Amino acid sequence: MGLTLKHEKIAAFRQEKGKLASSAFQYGGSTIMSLGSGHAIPYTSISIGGSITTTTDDSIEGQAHKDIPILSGITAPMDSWEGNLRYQGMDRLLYWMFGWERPGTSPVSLGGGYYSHLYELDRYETEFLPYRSDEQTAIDYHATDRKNRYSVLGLKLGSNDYRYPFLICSGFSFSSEASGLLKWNAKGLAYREDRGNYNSATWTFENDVAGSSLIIPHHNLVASIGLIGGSLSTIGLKSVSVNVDKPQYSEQDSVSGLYNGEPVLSGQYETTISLLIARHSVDTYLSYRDSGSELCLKLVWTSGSYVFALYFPSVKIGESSISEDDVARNSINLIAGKPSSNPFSSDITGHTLIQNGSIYCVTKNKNNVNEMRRE
Amino acid sequence: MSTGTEVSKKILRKFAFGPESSYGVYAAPSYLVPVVSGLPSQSFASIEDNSIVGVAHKSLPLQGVGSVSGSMSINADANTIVFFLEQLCGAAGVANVYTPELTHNSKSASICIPDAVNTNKYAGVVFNGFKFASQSDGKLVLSFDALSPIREVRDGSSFPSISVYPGVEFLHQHLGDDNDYGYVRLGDQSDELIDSDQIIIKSIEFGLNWNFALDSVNNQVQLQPQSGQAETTLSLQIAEHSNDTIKTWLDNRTKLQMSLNYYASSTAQLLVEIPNFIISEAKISEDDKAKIDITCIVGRNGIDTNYDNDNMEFNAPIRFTVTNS
Repeated sequence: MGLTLKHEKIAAFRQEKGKLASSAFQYGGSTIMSLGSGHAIPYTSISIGGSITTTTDDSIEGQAHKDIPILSGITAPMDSWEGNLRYQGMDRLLYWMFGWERPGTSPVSLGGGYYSHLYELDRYETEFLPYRSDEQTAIDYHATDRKNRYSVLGLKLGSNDYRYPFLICSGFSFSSEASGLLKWNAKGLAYREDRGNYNSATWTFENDVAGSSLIIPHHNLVASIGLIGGSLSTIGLKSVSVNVDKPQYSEQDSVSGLYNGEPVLSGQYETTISLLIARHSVDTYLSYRDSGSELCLKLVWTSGSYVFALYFPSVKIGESSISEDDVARNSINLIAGKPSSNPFSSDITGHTLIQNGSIYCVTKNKNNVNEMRRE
Repeated sequence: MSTGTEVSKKILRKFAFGPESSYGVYAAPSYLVPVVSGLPSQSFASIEDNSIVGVAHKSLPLQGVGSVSGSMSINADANTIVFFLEQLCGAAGVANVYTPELTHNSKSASICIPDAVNTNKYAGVVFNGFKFASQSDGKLVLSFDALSPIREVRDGSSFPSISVYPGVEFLHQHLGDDNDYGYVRLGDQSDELIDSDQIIIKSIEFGLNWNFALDSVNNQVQLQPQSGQAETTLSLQIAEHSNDTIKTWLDNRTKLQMSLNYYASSTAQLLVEIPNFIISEAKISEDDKAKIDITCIVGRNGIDTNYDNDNMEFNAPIRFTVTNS
């Protein structure tokens, strides 16, 4: 019997079917994409597992001892999945997190074998649904195409492979601090946990994904902030943290049986950003806080032609204070909102924003496939 | 990488406190105070957008009411302590005797804190949770929570002119000396406290909280804070459990009195008198040499001249006398 050793674990991750998928895919159904070559994804920790609920019978039967409870529910929540972000090989993960990459125009060819992707939060839904009329921009768009934000996650754990199909993202974050790496973290909900042989022997990494050559360090970051319409100031950050919450409603009913019904986006997205300026040398951000000024913020990590960037077209400083450290730091907590325009249009040449949300993400790498329509 | 811009450093901060003659009107403070920790900080409430407009993206929140708050602590010294005693009592001292007001506290203060970036000025500041604390081998530390509804001002003002500089700092060891000028005396109310009522303590805490509260109305600036029901607190640790007098007082709900005198010198003293309290809790500790941890409930000393304790003829639950010259 094989032992489960942490360093031997492998994770594999693949989008579920979206093209020509109207009848080919069903939440909780039998169509699940298989995992294999190029699907391995590096990670540092994960907390996911099959979970059951039971219901006890409280009937009075003249006995002091109860019978065992009955099985009343099955699900597989993912509380946390974390890894070190790379410039290459993360696009399917980013699409799964954000939920939208515009078909037809993304990725944009940059020449030299590099491509620019733009990911947004869907302004209406995250469920398995038809494209809206202004979203039908793929050259090969078909009426049976569907927006599919579900993925299948596989974990090689000892003698068995574990598989978590129909995994939806319910929130994600990015964080980095000085002398460290840019980390990603996601939470979500899968339909169930399967155990068996899901070909983990074939789970391999894309080129340049494994290893540290394209890993993203904090010192690659250039952070800029300022009034909308004004010039942005570059700020020196000791640490940065971005958090996006995507509330999902998922419950059982008489149709879904033991399992939960398809998750539904049940509220508005919450996007918050925490910055720690290494040295308090200006009171600019306290003033922005006091006046409630509308600002814009971009966080851009760059290495050669590779880019990972987060854009916040409309933010406000909710809290800001000066620390009591020997060299005082300036902490800034921002709330992102729906913008009325895009102050970063020159940063995303070739792309068109469709969803116009509080955050969007740009990557530049050697991936030439639109992740929303990869499968 | 040098930015050519001066950076805020803790070691270069200084703090000036001073009373206001008119609430909320900044008055250049003139007491240079030896702050140990804490900074006031301004914050604003956030009014979320909960409108349903057919999209999943929220708008930015609106800015709500503002406030300034911060927990701070200082080393109590014979000179600057008088400012804080006036704020604590809600009344100016009379012949260096500071007695808390009996009905309300309407005092307020201005604070000035320059850093390398700007001079930060605060007006309309009131103080909650005044607490004096000293323990063996330590200083007498005064902590408090500053609170104001008035916006922080950051500008290029010069540091104000100082008229009162820190003096001799009070230490826990000043509560006892070979000549008995420093002491802690504890006893019942049958007689005045005398030398034989002295106790040896490892630590002591006493304070007064006026429970000031902010109140938001139809304005982004909240109303002037009003003081509420005042609470006086007292707790101490007796160095050695050698008799059960404390336990007997607890059992019998004996009314007690205490006076303690921090004696640094003939020109630097702080006398604290607590005329009327009972012991609510007395625990023998589990140390190798057992100590007694005592918590008390402090009350006022009667009404008008009808004193509960005739040995200390004042109604307030606590009184301070400062000697600094």
